Amino acid sequence: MNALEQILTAGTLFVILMKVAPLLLAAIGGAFTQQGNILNIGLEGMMLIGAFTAISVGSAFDSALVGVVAAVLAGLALSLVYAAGTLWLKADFIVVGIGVNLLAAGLSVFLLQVLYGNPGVTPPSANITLPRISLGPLADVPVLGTALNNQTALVWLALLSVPLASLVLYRTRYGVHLRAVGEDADAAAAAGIRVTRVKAQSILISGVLCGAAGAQLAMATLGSFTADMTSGRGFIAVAALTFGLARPVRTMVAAFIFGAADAVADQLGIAGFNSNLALMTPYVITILALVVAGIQFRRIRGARASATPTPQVA
Amino acid sequence: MKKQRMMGGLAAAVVVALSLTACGGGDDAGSGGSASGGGSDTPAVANVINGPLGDQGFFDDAARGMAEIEKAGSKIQNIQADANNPAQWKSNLESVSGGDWDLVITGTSQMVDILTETAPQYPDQDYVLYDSVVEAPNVASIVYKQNEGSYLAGVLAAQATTNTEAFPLSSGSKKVGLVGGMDIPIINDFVEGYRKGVETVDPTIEVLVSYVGDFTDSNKGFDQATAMYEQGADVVFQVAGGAGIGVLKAAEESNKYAIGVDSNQNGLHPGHVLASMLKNIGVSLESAVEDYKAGELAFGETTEYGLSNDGVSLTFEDNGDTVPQEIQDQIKDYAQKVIDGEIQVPTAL
Repeated sequence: MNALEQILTAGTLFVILMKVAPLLLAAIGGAFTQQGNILNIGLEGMMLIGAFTAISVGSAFDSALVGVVAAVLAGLALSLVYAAGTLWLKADFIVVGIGVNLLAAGLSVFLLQVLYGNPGVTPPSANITLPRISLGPLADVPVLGTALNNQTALVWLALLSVPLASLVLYRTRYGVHLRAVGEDADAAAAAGIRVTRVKAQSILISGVLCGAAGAQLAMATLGSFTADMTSGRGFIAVAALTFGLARPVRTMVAAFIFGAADAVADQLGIAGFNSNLALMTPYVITILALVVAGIQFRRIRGARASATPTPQVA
Repeated sequence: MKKQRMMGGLAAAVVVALSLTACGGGDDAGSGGSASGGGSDTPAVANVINGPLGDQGFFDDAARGMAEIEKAGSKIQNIQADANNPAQWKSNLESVSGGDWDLVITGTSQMVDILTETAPQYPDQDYVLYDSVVEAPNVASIVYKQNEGSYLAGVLAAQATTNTEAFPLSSGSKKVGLVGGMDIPIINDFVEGYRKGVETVDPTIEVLVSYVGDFTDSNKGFDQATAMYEQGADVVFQVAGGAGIGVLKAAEESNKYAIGVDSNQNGLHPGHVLASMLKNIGVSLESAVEDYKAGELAFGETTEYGLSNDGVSLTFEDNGDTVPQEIQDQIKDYAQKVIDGEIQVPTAL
């Protein structure tokens, strides 16, 4: 009925893109570490600290650009902590990841209290939003024009990060080294690849992308930071990249499925569906879609493996 | 990991600080713990908070009440905690239950299980629990009729969507919305009151309701409110804590109206936040302590704070005169009708 019409508008695509952008940036970042065989649980914390820094620094300098740069640096700094803990101190990846998340949650609330005297939310005086990019005459292109017009630069960056990541992972020396390290670290070391350095670089890349994801999350529409505002998006990103097998395009598809389901769920809730079911919808749809994708992938890989004597990992 | 150690240290520091103040404070505390209802002129009052201050709502308002109690001469202490650490809340509650404080205040439904366990262990300690009920002979429970305050918010929202002259941003769509934090009884009590308020003005007005799923995801609050405005809603009432910050922002972005909650949020987006519904926690705590001084605080019983005793209210302060005086007067009339029992507001509790 009416509800379906409301859901399937070009405006919904605009909303989906906005929801997907931070997820996608974080997931692509996590895909890099995953290619190096590190399951990066710390995406959530890196995103959160990026969101906080974007608002606090951006508003202090009254510049969205400064905010984004600061967010990226903050994500980078936290990823350094993660890299130091896991690679040099040899702690468990998951444990350090949880530590990074707790650190980000505690630190952001602590700094909110110190800087603004309020650990819940940044005050109206510290408000900064990203400029929107107008497409001009191209905005009239049906569907895509509406969806892409007036999005932030970080949405474009998120979309661009997918082909860029593919390029880096599959067409550069670094990408080959990283994947070799992820495949078999000992063999890679024997071949003369500096394993720790390659892994560290992948972690730093994830920090940079998560910082940008946080900036998009806080500055795209709200212009303010609220405590724990990532609300699990980092873990959704981990799910997306896991089911996407850390391949950029598949990861993007997974992120989009979730974003679309999330947008639909918002409408379902308003249309009067049971609220708990509505809130569950994105997760259920994501899992279903990814299970189907996983089965298909396995079939393809199985066929390929039986066709060639040595299985290739693309 | 790191944080937990930090919080552990903090808890230890709190305990040390407490024992120090208890030692230094002389014997004004400790002796007054009679279960029959106090009577001390300046009772020592501890407020165990199951989260940090700074929520611009609930806990901050309780702390405001505590400050007033301190002004009246009492020794007070607010004990903050981690937002998601029930073990710490419990140890904090136990640490002040040993008889050093005449009255121990705590609140919210999250503390119910903990207090149910702790109160019988310290039968000589007097407790006040706000916003929930624990049935024990040494606990005085305070609940708020948020449905009554929410009723007024509903009346206001209905006026705004029908009266496009007084509210120029309205489209006259006869649609209003509510974004709640979670689908839980307390939030649904707001929903019930809101629906009733809207219905009183015009039963043909449609009420859209959605839930964020938590109280932190401000982006989701923004998205849900924006979806409501796109479907034609003229006013959205937020009952979603931190996530509600996104709802208020969405009102500005969509150039429509919103109604705030818990603290005065009218100034956050000038011209767009019509009013804020308040639960006056602080006022209720002050009056509970006054009752305690007079020996009249009813332990083992539940006191309701509604429109009649200032437990809940709708404030128009700082809203940039977006609501004409005559409509404010009308809303006052409705409030009076609720107080007089002429209008019964349904509840979800």
